[in-house]
Amino acid sequence: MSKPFARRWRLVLPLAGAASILLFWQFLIPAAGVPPYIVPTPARVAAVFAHDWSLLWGGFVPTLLESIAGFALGNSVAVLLAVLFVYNRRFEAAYFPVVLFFNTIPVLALAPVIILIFGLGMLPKIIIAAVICFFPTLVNMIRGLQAVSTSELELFRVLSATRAEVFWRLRLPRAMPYLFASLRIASATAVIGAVVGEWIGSDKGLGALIIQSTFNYQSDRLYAAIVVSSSLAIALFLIVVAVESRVIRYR
Amino acid sequence: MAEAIRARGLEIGYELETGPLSVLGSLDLTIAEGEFLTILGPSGCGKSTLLRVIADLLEPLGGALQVLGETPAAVRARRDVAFVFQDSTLLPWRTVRGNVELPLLVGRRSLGRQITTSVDELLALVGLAELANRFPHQLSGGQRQRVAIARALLCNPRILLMDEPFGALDEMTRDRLNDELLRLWRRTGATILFVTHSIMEAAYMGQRVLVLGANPGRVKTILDLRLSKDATGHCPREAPALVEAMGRLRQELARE
Ligand SMILES: Nc1ncnc2c1ncn2[C@@H]1O[C@H](COP(=O)(O)OP(=O)(O)OP(=O)(O)O)[C@@H](O)[C@H]1O
Ligand SMILES: [Mg+2]
Repeated sequence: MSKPFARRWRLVLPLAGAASILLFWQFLIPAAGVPPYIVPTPARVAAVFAHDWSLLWGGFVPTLLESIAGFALGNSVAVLLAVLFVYNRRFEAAYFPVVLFFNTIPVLALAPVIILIFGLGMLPKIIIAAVICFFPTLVNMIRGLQAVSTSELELFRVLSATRAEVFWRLRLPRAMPYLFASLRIASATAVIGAVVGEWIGSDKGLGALIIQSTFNYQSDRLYAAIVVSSSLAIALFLIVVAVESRVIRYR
Repeated sequence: MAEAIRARGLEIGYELETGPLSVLGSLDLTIAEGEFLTILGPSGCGKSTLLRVIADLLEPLGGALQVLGETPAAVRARRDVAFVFQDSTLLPWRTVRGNVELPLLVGRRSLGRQITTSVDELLALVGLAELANRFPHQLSGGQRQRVAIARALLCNPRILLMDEPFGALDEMTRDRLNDELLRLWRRTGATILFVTHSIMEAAYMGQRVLVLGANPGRVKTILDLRLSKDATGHCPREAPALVEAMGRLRQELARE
């Protein structure tokens, strides 16, 4: 058995790996004769951060707001609907198939529809981000709320617990790990939703920046926008993980 | 002594879509308050079902059942009956203390009385005072069952229903918990119905042993061991009377 890495190696090695690839890229791309407007070198991308900081920031803020608002909206609706479905089987039987069908529509096909209805402001992007978060959370939350065992229900019944107590003290805490599993995914997909929305109808946000710099062959800006949007997704992910570790203190 | 449980022509089972499924029929049983009754029988004979009916988790299919002279529902609402499950059923997001305190948190509206038992005293009683702030996954199987027992005792139940509480434990832990439970029983004076698969456990723990048979579910016999045990209900494990009782239980179980 190989010995586990010391802690500091676990941080140093991935950084060194990433640095080696960046270095390789920095020198290989010009050597291969690829023009910088097709693929920029890492140094040129870094320069965008130095010179065009306000441009990136201006794109970042709307995308951030749309992602967070979409994340909150989509997941809240999903959680509420999951509770309704779990407590009302007829309602579930009637509407779950509709939701299932809705989920099969690709988000790229749905986005123009939403833009048509809600116009060009932030709202349609928030809704697209919400839609993309919604379904995994709905499914996970339904599973989580139903993940109680017979003996747990019997325990609460012997204690004459009310329905509300069974919900708050048993079903909801049981569902938390399931909920957070989907919130982790949603933290990345919410950003995707916001960016896709901005592609289709916006002059603001990272999505708009990506489209504009592509059409203008400003590949360094394009790559910088990519870095910012993936950093945004990572940051949201880390926030979810941090909240999760506070909420789920066992295990 | 007053009667803890009185069943006359009791029929228990499950209401299925295809009609009622009787598991155990024409059951006549009287259990005095303060008695320790063990229930022994093959898998599927209806031991858990019987406890469920007494705890008002399941309606009887027919016959009459009185618990402490009342309906099972009234007794359950007052918390005079408590249940310990085989899988301990601790909530993983609550600490040991939090699990023991669960009865203070839920179902209080129907309770109608103050719970005066101190959680700390109870934890000390089952030997868990030091582990109060641990989470269930940080406990051994035996410790987990102790938490479940402490939780069941919090409301001072007059009837304690235990469904194979030590079934998943190794023999040494089980022996130790058996003795602890007998000690708690003497201390609390509760009536205990204790389901087990172990002939040894049934004979050692019970003042009487109810032997059930399957296909069809029925009472085979009730073996009275009170004469073999001393005033506190104790009898050493290797006592001849106990060994003999185990032999008889084995025979009863094997009899068709
Ligand atoms: N919820 C249920 N619905 C329908 N039938 C059930 C249900 N639970 C148990 N049964 C059936 O009732 C019979 C008695 O079950 P029970 O759980 O009381 O047996 P048991 O004596 O406790 O067995 P074991 O020793 O394996 O725990 C079994 O045949 C079982 O299949
Ligand atoms: Mg059983």
